[in-house]
Amino acid sequence: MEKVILCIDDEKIILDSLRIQLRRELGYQYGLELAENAEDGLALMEELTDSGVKVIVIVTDWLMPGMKGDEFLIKVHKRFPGIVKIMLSGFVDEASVARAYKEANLFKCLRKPWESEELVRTIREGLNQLDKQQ
Amino acid sequence: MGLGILIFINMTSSKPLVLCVDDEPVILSALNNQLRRYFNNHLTIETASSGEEGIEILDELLSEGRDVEVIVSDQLMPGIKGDEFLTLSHERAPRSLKILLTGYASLESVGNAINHANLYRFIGKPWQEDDLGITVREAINVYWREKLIAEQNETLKTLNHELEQKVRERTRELLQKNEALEESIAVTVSTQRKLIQSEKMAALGQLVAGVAHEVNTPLGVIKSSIGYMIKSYDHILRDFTRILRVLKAREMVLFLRMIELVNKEFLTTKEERDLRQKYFGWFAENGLHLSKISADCLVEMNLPANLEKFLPLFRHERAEFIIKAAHSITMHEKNAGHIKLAADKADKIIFALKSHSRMDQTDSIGRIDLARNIETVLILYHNQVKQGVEVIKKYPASVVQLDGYADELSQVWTNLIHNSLYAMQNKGKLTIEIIDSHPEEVQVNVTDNGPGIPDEIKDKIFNPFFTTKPVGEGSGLGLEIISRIVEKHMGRIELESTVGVGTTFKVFLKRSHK
Repeated sequence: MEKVILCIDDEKIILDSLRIQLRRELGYQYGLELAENAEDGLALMEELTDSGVKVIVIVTDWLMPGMKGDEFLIKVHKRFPGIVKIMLSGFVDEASVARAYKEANLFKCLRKPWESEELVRTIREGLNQLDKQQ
Repeated sequence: MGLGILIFINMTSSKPLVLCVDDEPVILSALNNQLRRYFNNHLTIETASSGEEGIEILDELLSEGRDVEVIVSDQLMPGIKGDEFLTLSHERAPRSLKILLTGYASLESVGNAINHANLYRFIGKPWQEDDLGITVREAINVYWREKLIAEQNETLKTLNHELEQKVRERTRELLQKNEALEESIAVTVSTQRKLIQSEKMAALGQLVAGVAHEVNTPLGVIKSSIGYMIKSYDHILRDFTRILRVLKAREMVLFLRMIELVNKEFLTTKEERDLRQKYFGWFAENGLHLSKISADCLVEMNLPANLEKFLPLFRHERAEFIIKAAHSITMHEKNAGHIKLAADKADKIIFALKSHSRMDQTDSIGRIDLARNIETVLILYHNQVKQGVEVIKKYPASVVQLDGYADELSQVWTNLIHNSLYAMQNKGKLTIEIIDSHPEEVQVNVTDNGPGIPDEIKDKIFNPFFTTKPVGEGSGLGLEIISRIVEKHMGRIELESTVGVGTTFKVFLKRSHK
């Protein structure tokens, strides 16, 4: 089954940077899917699931128009368990992060500007943990 | 008879008193009898046979608090003389009327008595009974009249003194109250200053959080792009060297031309997905067996869907490698573009922040580009605005300029926009309109489609300390501050609000301050 990493951010430039960065660090091992808001992200996940693609990692911004990152991850957690969830944001409300850890099994919250090594390491750690669990 | 007058004038219940002094008992008796007769016994008469005795009696009477209206004295007596006695009496009872009675008219003694005893009358011996009676009666009247006047004067003086005292007290009270008032005004002013300061600090706090987020976004882009460029440089060189070996000259030209076609515009994720489907379709049409990764690379490069002329590259046995190499070279350029965009964005935010924070420092009037002044504020609020607020800008085609204090005006927009976002809970439509149709003034409308302001509080919202925000969130000074700023610009603010529809704040500003 094809495995993809889904990135969500309302700034397209961030999505492009993430894609370039993850492409370089992780190669073509995983597919990369992008969405500019949480609502699109959820719709995309349904679509991907329907076509037999599995989202294994989500990297999402917190502060976005419409649904916030924590809310999105909670929804995802209910609908699609077993995904490594990472938050990447320049500004996060602490209560929302706490909520995401508790209710969405958030793996880690990283701050913008981020270190690419840290992001990649976090993704790998998350995937290792997921493997152990399954 | 002068009886009526006597009773009328005498304020005390006792009869008037006359002290008669003569060394001759006959004279004393005559005085006594005649006066008693004349006053029909409504008179107390005291007699003394010498000046010394007279002084004794006088002292006694005075110590009893008795009024001694008249003193009648003979001049020629053994011991102290009449003038001398009257002088001594005058020292004791200055108000008593003194009458000198003598057959021996010594000018000197009369002069003495006049000068030192304030002599009232001189009666020569022998005297007419009536003359004596009238003189004494008149003297009694004078005594009471003077006493009354003196008493009235005294009362007046006391009243006057009391009045002065009261005035002094009132003045002191007023001074104290004035001081207390001045103090409380000072406290109020300093409290107000503190509140204005804390309002500014609260606004600053919100701003800093927003700006931190805004700046961190481009910074994240820059860091990730730079990281990529540094790391992939060797990789690109290697790929390119390999490409040179793999491709023939004509293919190389195609390769370079394809890279030139890379579109630097951003596509939405939806557009990207559509583009990917188009590539798959195109692959199928041309019988190309290329992987999904190749399609992804093409999408990331944002190449046009129609790639007919590059078919030789896609049909090449190393097609997948060629696409990847083109991709990695392109990404290098794309990263550089990202850095530029991000730096521009950070620059814009910092510029907005700088012009925003200059407040109060360069308080000089200048020519202001109104739309730009508003845009500066919108950039800083971008982070909050993008939450779910659609911003509609209606600016005239030509630049609208006016005289004003740029920083203070941007405070006006900041406040109005902040209020609108608050009212809409960051969800809805924010319309900012500049109306440039009046010869003397320009108009800015800030409209939200929030819940609106109920009629009962419309009049209050500009009052200092009025707030509908929860305790601790607003000082209630925001609109008060901006209405002062607008007044300073010789303008005015109008409010139009309908519950359930929304609110428009209309700011009218004079074009010129000359």
